Amino acid sequence: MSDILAQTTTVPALDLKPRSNNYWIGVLRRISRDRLTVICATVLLALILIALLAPWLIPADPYKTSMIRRLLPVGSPGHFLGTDELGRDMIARLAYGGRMSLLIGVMPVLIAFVIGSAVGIFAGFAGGRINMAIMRLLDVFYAFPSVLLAVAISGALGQGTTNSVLALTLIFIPQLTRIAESATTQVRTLEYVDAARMSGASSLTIIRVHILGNVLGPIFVYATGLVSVSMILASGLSFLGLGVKPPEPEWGLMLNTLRSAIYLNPLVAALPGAMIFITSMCFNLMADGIRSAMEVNE
Amino acid sequence: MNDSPISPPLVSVTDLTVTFGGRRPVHAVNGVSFTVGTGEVLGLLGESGCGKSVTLRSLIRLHPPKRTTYGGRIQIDGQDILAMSEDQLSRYRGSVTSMVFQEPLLAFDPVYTVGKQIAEAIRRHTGIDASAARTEAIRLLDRVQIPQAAERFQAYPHEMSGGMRQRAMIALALSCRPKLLLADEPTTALDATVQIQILLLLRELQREMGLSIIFVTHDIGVAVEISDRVAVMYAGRIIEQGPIAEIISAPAHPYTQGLLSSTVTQGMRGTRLEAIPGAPPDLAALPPGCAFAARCRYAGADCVESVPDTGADAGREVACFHPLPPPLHEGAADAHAR
Amino acid sequence: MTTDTRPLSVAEDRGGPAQPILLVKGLRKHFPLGSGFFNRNRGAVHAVDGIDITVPKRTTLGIVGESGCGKSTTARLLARLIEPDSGEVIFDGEGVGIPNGMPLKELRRNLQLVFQDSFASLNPRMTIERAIAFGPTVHGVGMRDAIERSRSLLDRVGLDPTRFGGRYPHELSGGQRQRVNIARALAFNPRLIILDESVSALDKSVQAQVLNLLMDLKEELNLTYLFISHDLNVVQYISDAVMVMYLGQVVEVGPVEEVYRHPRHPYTKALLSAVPSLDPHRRTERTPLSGDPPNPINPPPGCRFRDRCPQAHAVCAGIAPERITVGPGHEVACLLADAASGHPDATGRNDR
Repeated sequence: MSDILAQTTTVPALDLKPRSNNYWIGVLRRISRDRLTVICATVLLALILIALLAPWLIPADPYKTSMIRRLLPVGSPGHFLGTDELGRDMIARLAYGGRMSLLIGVMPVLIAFVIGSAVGIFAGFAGGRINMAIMRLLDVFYAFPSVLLAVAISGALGQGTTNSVLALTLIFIPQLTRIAESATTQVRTLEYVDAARMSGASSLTIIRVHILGNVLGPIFVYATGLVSVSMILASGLSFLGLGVKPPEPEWGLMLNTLRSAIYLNPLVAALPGAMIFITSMCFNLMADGIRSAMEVNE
Repeated sequence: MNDSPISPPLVSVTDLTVTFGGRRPVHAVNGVSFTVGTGEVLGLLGESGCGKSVTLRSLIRLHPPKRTTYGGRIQIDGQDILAMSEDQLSRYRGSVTSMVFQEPLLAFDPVYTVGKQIAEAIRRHTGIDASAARTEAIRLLDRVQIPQAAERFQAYPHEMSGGMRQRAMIALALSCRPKLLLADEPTTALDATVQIQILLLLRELQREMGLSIIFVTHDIGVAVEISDRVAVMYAGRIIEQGPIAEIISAPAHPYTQGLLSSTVTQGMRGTRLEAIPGAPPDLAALPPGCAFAARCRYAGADCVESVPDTGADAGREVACFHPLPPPLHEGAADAHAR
Repeated sequence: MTTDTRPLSVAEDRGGPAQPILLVKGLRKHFPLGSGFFNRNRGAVHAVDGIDITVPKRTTLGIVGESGCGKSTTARLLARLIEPDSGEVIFDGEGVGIPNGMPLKELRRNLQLVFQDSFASLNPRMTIERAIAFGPTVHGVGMRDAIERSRSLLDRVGLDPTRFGGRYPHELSGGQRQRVNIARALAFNPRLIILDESVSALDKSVQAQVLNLLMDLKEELNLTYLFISHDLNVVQYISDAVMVMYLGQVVEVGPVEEVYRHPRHPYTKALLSAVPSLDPHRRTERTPLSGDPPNPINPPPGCRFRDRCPQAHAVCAGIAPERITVGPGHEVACLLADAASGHPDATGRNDR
């Protein structure tokens, strides 16, 4: 009987005001009411701005080492957040490190979003055997845990930023393709797509006009959530020495090199980890907020 | 058929209101009163959003408690439903009153066989042992005319056809020998050939067990087949009620008349349908007067100002300031219009 | 009022009034069961199993039957939303789906479809005036002209374009959305519209409005309708001829009054008596048919209705009845109507 309780009686909304309501304006309005999502978005925006404007905002040089100022604690004069194991200023390292970390967090997802959406929408719209061939091929990637796969691919490609971006992109393509495919398959069976076919429009026109607008939203939300995964994996690769090369500042790499100082100066050693944590959590919460703002329909 | 003056009616609903909360509260039911006698079948007739299902579900308080506000009084078999605790309510559901829905798949758990669920309900209610409950469940399945009931006892809900599932749900609903059966459009999703079978079955069971039934439907034909009396709802109010034969032959409320004339029946071919113009009002912004006034061709200034009361008159109630006179001959309604 | 800002002109009437607008012969579609690697050949759903249809110009043909009888599959086959396994479709003298026949794009300009679910058949992210304008733009009409035409069509179906044109589907009621779907079909200036349970989901008072609109449009624009519905009263009201389907086959077809007054097939009789009575003094007392409509999976040989037929006889298992003419335009596929069939209760062709 409990299922019946969930089945609430909906009351049809009839004759509303004669204004037209743009869907995306509605989504933005709902997001703006959601305090948590707004806070997360603000934090992310601030992090991105700090990373971008680091050369102008931060006076200290992130590469300048100093043997006598190694591992200064948080709150030291001149080095507000302390220094790392080579005496480099932590504020500068974290700000500059954000550039690389955000880049390798966002880039793979962005590339995978484009490729995955294209492949997934094609597979979903084509249906039948083509769909099955594409999806079964991608299932092969699912057979491996993504962390392992990332390590394996970057290990094979060799150390370097480009290679770790490439490795992460390859991991995210199957996931995004699957989301795009299922969203498209679902939309394709709706009668308005049949109605569009009845207009004599070509498949490309139908995808462009009737499918894209209805599937890109859900794919985008999923991709936003993947940014946090990407950042953590990228940090993991750097930590293992497979990603960014020292002395380049990057949060995952910093976490690795500061590891030895964890007993000497735990607070400083935890800072890059905290940055990774905050950023990825913000991306995750923001994705959730956008998702629920987009679901309110009807 | 009508409530006798000696015994009180089984169901007596007085001035029931149901409001769903939220930023724009929706007044789904706005002061509904009716009674149902023992062994009587009341049809609740109306179009989507008129509050007929909401009213029905209120009788076992099925609405989510957090966002629902009830008002008025519901008395069933001497018990005050709106004052019951959750414990009392769960004992009352199924034993005194039980319900059949439009979609039987929702009433059954997909992972257990239909027979097991019915037997379980019997055991919980009567406390008899498993094998006796099984025998009783098979008897019930047979009673609702499920062929090869003993074999069907083992069937899972998804293995049954729509009509069979609906029969099984009726068996489940009757398993605890309720006095009142609430039916929420149980035949709407079925083919006409199956629908009539279910209606006849319900009628037969009702007579045999002396059941009272409240049957919600949007289909006048279905209401005619099943009900003794009918209450027509519009925008959360009962606008007319009375014996089915009188309502059909002499509707007094302009909405009832409009509903009847816009329902396509045999012999209407070649005539233009008399549709009711416009659409029902928004339940979150009801007008102060009669909710039908904006669509009514007989409406006057009084209709816009206040809500008409139901004037009782020998078992017939009409909530209208300008009710239609009983037709003396064909075309009486037209004469009234002029 | 005139609807004509016609950037898309109505296709010319080729064969004259005597030539049927739609002629279908032996239309067939089986859906194979089980599409995995290991379970091929478990049989097939015989959704539409060799049906013939003739629709004269400017008439309405109603198609009735229980769920699973193939009504909706027929609609989709005719619109070529699914490819038939076999069968000939001729639209006003021109073959469809054959080399040198009528191109698909041309067919769909002339033949439009209105679905049952008014919400699912509109793109939720598109304003209704754009949804209606989309079709003509595909056929080369400029966006501005298409929108202008869309607004005049909205007006024609009874929706004020300035008030409704910029709205999204979820901001309309079911009846209003179905008007939009009709307007979208009209935007092509089609000659045949298939209405697949298009008024079934609407409330009665709204249904009457939409039926009136459909009758007016048919008169005004010389339309032909294929009206698919499970509601026998509505079919009787709107159709000139009616076709009764059972498990993918046509069991009876004929002028609507003739079939309703003198049904010859036991199934048609049962369907008609299953319609709820509107007279409280004459309620239905006996069920005309027992059991549910069967699945169209691997139907048995012989007459497909024989399991549920009150007049079935041993011969019905052996012979699949052919359609025979029992009156002007009235055909029935039942051994009872054929005196030579060997069925003991069979009567002659012209015997009533």
